[in-house]
Amino acid sequence: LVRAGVMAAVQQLVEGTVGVSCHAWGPGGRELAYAANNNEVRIVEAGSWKEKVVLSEHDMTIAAIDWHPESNFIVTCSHDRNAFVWNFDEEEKAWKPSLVILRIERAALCVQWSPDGQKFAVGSSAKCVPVCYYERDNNWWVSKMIKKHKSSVLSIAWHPNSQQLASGASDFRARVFSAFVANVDEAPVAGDFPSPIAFGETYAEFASNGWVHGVAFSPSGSSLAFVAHDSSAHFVTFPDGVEQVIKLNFLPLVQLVFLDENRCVAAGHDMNPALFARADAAWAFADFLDKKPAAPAKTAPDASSDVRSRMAMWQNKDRTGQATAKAPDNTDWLKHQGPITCLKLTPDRALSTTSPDGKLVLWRL
Amino acid sequence: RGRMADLMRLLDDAPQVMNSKDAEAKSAHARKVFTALDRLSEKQMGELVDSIEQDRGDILLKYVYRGLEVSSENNAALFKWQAKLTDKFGVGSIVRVLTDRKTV
Repeated sequence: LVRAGVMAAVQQLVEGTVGVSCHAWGPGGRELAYAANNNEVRIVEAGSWKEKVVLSEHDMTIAAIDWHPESNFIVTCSHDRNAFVWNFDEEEKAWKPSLVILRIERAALCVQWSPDGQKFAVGSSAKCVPVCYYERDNNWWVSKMIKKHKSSVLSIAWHPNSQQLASGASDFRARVFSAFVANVDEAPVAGDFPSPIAFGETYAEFASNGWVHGVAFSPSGSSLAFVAHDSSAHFVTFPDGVEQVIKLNFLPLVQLVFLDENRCVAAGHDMNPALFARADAAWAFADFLDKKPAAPAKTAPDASSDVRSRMAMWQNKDRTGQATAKAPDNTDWLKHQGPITCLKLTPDRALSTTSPDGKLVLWRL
Repeated sequence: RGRMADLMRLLDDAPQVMNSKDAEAKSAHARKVFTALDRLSEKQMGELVDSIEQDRGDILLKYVYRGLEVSSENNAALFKWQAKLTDKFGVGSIVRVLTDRKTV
């Protein structure tokens, strides 16, 4: 599952005092768009990481970016309650923004293109998810609202059929909605559910004991996974709707992606991507991707340190009640030194993570 | 042996108490749990933590933290329970103590 060598390449995109809020890969992985915790989109050339262009239209911090691999459209959403769709004008060799009025009264938090590139959905603090599509007659993007949520929508994920949308919210729920838009989608499809339902209606709802930070569908759409703030990972298999809850023994995860039908990677406050794998219909945590380098061999203690070690033992017993003092876990060896807030699959099937530590790390399994 | 089973039974009854909003019932149940914890020796502490599974371990840790809220002579033992439980169940268990809206 995880071969002995997980290769990781680290690139400090911006200083650790600034941080990276989100990132997205361009077609073919040749370019990377990211935001450095401000209102600008920076596009850099992959590999050399040289800055190609800075796009400034938003007024406030950019919360999320998504870049569709076929249409080459970039969509950005921001705390300024707006989204912009950027398309590259070949003649002028420049990115042209189109403002999308989302009609939300609070910040936008996450955005994703539908797999067919015809729509995008935005999760917002206004407890709703605008689903936006292009109206050719009026030459602008319109939004249709999915409500139903009782609190901020922290994450969204499209089903491969581009008609079903999963959302994770801070009302402790993950839900699957219909995002069928009559003008855009041809015939309504229901994936693994019995029959299609109207836009904005709920196919399924799942509860958790923590805010649902991340949701994702498997490549076929027959599995849904979500991670919550109570350090749990949930896996649902359709069509039965059977949910498996894994209580984790580490810090909460906030983002996740499926590598394939039976493997999923999630990352969050432990600053280390975690691999989950399915075997015999049961999911389990397999391993962390980042490994501590082997410590140098310790020299054998000499006789005189025996007295010292006995003294240390009694001192520890006096201080903490345990015979040995446990060294606090040192996290300096980790590639990331800040929580991983954005995790994406690169076009060539590697994983990329960014964090408020300003780093971009590429993981190859 | 009987003492460990007593504690297990109290932990199994805990979800009902956690679901209610009755502060008195919660305090009463907590007192029973602390009494049961006191009766166990350090060796039995180790055996119990080894045998306990995730859900009961989470509930027990919630009681340990509740006990530590008040300064008392029993806190030395509670720190040992905390150390043993987090050794087995990790930081995630502590996160669930903090995030679970249903309290003990």
